[in-house]
Amino acid sequence: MLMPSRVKHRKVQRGRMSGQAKGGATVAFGEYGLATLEPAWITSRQIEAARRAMTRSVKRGGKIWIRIFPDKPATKKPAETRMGSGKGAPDHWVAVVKPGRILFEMAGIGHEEAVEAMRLAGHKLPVATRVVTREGV
Amino acid sequence: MTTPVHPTLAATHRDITGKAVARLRREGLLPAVVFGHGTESVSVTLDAHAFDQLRRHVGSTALIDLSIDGHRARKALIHGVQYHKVTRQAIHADLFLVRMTEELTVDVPVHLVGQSEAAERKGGTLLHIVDTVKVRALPDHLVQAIEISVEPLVDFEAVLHVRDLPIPSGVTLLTDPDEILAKVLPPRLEELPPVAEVAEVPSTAEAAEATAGSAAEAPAGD
Repeated sequence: MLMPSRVKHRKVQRGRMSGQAKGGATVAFGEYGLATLEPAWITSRQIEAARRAMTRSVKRGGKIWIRIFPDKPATKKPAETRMGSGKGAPDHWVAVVKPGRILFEMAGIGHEEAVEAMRLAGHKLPVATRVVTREGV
Repeated sequence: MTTPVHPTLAATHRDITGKAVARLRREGLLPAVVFGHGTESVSVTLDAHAFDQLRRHVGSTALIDLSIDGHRARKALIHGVQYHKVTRQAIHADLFLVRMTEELTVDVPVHLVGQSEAAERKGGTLLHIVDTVKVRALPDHLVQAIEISVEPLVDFEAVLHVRDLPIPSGVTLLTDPDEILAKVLPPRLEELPPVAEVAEVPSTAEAAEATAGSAAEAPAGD
């Protein structure tokens, strides 16, 4: 699973997810892209599950790019713990995405195959998604 | 010699600016700006559907005849289009008035044509790394796209560079000629499910023993 090798701060504030994606909103490497239509935290497990769904759907050939990286630590308090006593322990890693952000890209496969693979990948993610194509393809 | 016929685009002068242009978009109009060397920039509106059709058919480097409020048509180039990040609809266009005697610098799309043996027969993935190149030319010499055959890509080591592009006469290439344009990646093998998952399934006898053992241990654990 994706995670940073080293971070400056173990715990970070949660932040807000208003507005649209500022960058990474165009298909840059492949021919097809999976764009999110909602803001969300996408965990490294969800990214991996979506990548596997795509890879297994395509079987052979093609190339996949993961355009997001889970670089934000998310914390969790232990179960049955009273509130207070400070912030919980780092639990998992998330990527913050905003509407319009391209999550995955694919190249080297047919349109139908790419759409089906990305549909399956979309079901592994906590957001509504849309398949987009590179301009001019 | 006959002068080439360019597609036409009608525009109307626009006084509405700022956030109020959202109303124009709802009415099916596209806000745009017309500018050029030595001319004052003008805010205009275009028919959004007509612009979309034009852009799909002529591409980004074709000259168009732009007439504002029915006045004499002038040669223009679609310099840039802003898209909404979620709906992917055009929200604003930049139209650049060209002088036919002045050289322009534009990004021309590169189209790969033909079949690559490495991609078709050996199952590789054709990667189109650079899809536009920057060129400088007089407006008359601008090309809509540059085509290059991928037939030289016979194996996974072969690469096409920007310098291999057939550049038409009168056009100067500005992109680094050593940049890789296209190559073929070796095929990715099917990802098999981990073997450990299969190996961990115990035989019937072992499973029975394990169940009995765990049932015995459970009360002790509590």
